[in-house]
Amino acid sequence: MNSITEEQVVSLAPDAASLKAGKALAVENKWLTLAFNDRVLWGEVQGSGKDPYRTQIDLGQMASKCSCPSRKFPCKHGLGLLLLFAKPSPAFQSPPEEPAWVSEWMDKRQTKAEKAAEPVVASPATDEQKEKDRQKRQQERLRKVQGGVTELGQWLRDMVRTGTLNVPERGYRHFDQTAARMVDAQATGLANAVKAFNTIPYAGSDWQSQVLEQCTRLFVWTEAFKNLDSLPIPVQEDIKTALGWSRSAKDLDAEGEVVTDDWLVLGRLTREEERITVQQNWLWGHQTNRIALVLNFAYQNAGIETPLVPGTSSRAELRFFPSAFPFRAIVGNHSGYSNLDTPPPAFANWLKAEAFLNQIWLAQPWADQIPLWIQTVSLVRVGDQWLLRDTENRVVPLSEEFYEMKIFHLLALGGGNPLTLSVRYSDGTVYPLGIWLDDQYQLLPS
Amino acid sequence: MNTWNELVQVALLGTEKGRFSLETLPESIQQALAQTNPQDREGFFLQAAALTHQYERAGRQAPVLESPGVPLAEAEEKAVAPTEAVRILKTLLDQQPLNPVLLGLLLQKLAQKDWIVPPAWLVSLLNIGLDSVQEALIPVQGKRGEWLRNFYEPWKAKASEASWEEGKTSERKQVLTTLRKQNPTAARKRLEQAWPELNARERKDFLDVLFLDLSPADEPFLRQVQQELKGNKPIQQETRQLLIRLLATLPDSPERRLVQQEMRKYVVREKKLLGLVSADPKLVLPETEDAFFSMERFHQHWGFAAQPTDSYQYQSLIEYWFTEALVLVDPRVWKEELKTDWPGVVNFFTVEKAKADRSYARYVSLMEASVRFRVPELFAILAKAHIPYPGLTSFTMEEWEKIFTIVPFRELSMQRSELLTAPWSAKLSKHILRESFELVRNSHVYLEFVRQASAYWYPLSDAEMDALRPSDTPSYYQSGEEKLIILLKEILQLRQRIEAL
Repeated sequence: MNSITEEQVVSLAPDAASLKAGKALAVENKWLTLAFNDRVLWGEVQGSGKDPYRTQIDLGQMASKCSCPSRKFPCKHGLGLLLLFAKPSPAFQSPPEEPAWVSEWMDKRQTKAEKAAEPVVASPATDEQKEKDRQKRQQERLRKVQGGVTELGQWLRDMVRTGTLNVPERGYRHFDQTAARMVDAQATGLANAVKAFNTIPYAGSDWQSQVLEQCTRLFVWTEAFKNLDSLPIPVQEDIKTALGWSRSAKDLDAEGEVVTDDWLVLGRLTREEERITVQQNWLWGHQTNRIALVLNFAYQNAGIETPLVPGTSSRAELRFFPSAFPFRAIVGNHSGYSNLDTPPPAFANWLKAEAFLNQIWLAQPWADQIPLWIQTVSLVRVGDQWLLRDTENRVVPLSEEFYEMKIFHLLALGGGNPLTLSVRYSDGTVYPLGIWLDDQYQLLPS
Repeated sequence: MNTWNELVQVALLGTEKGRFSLETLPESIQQALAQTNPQDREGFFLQAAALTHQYERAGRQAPVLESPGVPLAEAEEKAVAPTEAVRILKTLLDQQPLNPVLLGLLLQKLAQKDWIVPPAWLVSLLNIGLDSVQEALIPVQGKRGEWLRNFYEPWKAKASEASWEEGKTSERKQVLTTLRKQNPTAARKRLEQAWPELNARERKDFLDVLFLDLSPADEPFLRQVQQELKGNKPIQQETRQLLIRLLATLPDSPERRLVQQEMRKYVVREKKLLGLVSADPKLVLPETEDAFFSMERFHQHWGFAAQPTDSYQYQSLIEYWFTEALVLVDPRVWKEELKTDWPGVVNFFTVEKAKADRSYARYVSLMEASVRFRVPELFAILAKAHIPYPGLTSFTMEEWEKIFTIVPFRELSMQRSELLTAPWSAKLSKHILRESFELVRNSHVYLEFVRQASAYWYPLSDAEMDALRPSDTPSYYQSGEEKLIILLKEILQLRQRIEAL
């Protein structure tokens, strides 16, 4: 992956502080050695300790390792090394052999990957016992979730009976307590949805509508769960996922749809949720024209290791979670990187994009944050609001999160001309992720 | 009110008090609700709300908007900067803190080459709130940058003309100072044109700018101002003082000749027996007004106070006027008259057995004279004695080199910005670097000076810089030195890349 750009490296930064420190390290004379070959990039940098830190990047998987004490991935040294590589710096050497500390790490990674790919051989007797245990655990969980669903159903009814007028005054504790009971009932999805009442901007003018929307979402899930057995299997899976059932990669190996493609990472959003780092990656497949969401999680400051690089296409298998609208996926076999070199099949106008969204909602009514391509849209300003207008003069407002400086950046790139954009659609607004410009995909600042 | 809003109203009141009319719901929702038990009021309501929400969401169509969009930017006429220039730009924009000097050099280089910055970097550049960067950006922003500025009020280019016409007094003075440095004649003409409209305070403030590159060409304007100046208010008196200082600084002006000729007369050599003249000259000032130290000249014409401004420093009115007049005399006159060296000049003006302040006032005047008449040796001696001076110096880099042989660079911290006027020689660069290694031991703020001087450092080689680094620095002081040397190497490397474009 010698074609990584600085913007792509920037998007790999786990946080702003690491990026700032990484940029400061992207200077040749801070490095004692800088080298690379086809598979790995490495360097030694003098840190505060006696010995220099040894930093290495697996170019095939964008994984990093550094002898510094940081637990972030990549750490500031990894980012500095990658930024220098992206510039590109002429200081990088290509020695015929890797030093031992580099080849040891790379060989270990390769062995680990090969081992993971090997099928697990187990005795039929062990499998049977495991299946029995699994079913027992499932039954126990179902029983607990049912209890939680019943309780939440009553809670919702109480809320709409007494009215939502005083919801802003109820305070965090009211919702946190209910959410905690849902956690006890092993329905973490419901717990998160209850906590979402705390994130509604009650100072705004639209909170009344948002509260009712959130109530209806919870109502749909709880009612659907009560009728779970009568629903089609993919919908059952969606309900269970919404309520908090998780699936391991192993489960997906057996049940998930596998789609191999060149997956362009249209954009990435990383946020903190109660000491958990949540990383959302929106992907689009060149050949299949499929869209996907890859979620990665890390506890506290632990880094997230993923081969996905925003703005870059990954040649990879995606294993989709079973769903009526297979969208969420995990990355399976990852075999390298490529660049998108042909224009994407973007929707010609908003009506066509909305028809696509309706198909999704038909399958899964609560699907949200859907990535899509739209072409020949222009920026329009009405008062303080910015909108994207298609060739038929239909407009969709930009998300409030896409703040003014990002809009100006988009204006600078396009000069007022119609644009082809990848956007994230949510609740009647769009958040631009990237732009197709000068025959290449360019990420927009996230 | 649409259906959803009606449901929101009911939700706010609660189903105990609020009711919604089934008939207002779309028919398909009504049909779906037919299977729901209406006795379960809350369940029925939530079902209706869930269905309506989905119904409205799925049926949503982007509205049509006919109003005009943003105007198109004009097509570019100039070429976009090449890859190497963009790489340097990226590197500079990534630096924390920003190095506006190198950024300015790069933008100037782009302008020389007739290139423009790529649109992707315009927002970052426009957000740099430094006038120097914004001025350098204008020629390379291209049509796209010019167009983009219209979308955001703080970006709208404030031309220096606008700052001069509409700015605050300090902004206007800055514009005039910049112009004076670039084109002394144009600056004076601008001041002449604006003069009738200026108030007394502005006149005094702006006149001060003429000290920069003062030349005989400025004399007619100064004479005119002098003639027109009426009244005895403090501001007018201050303007008179400024005028006499300006006129006395002009080479060969009548004021300069007069002051030099008259002031020398107060240096007296006592005659001894046999008519021999004492080798030790003395300063003998009159006790009352005389032909030179007169109320008419010093107070009415030159604007100095009619009473000593400080009875502690000045024992008499004549002593006060003498100290003021000391500023008007080229110090070389004293050296010649006293037939001594520069320390001898300083000694001569030391008031023996006096309280320190009386000598101090004279030293301050001598310091100012050393700056006005550019006498680096005297300046250095007085600076070493920690005598402050007002305004900026206009010493050349060669003169600074001389000054640094007497007084360490670090003791001239107040005057560092004055070094940032012309490229430094290898000798001067090495001197400053050597001292900077010592300075950064105590405070890393000196790194900022290294950055500010980015355009002036001599292109020392890495080996030359390494050789200047002290070898005996304790480990706990080494981080500052390390930062300094990395920073300077990076600056010189980037500057070289900019020059090579």
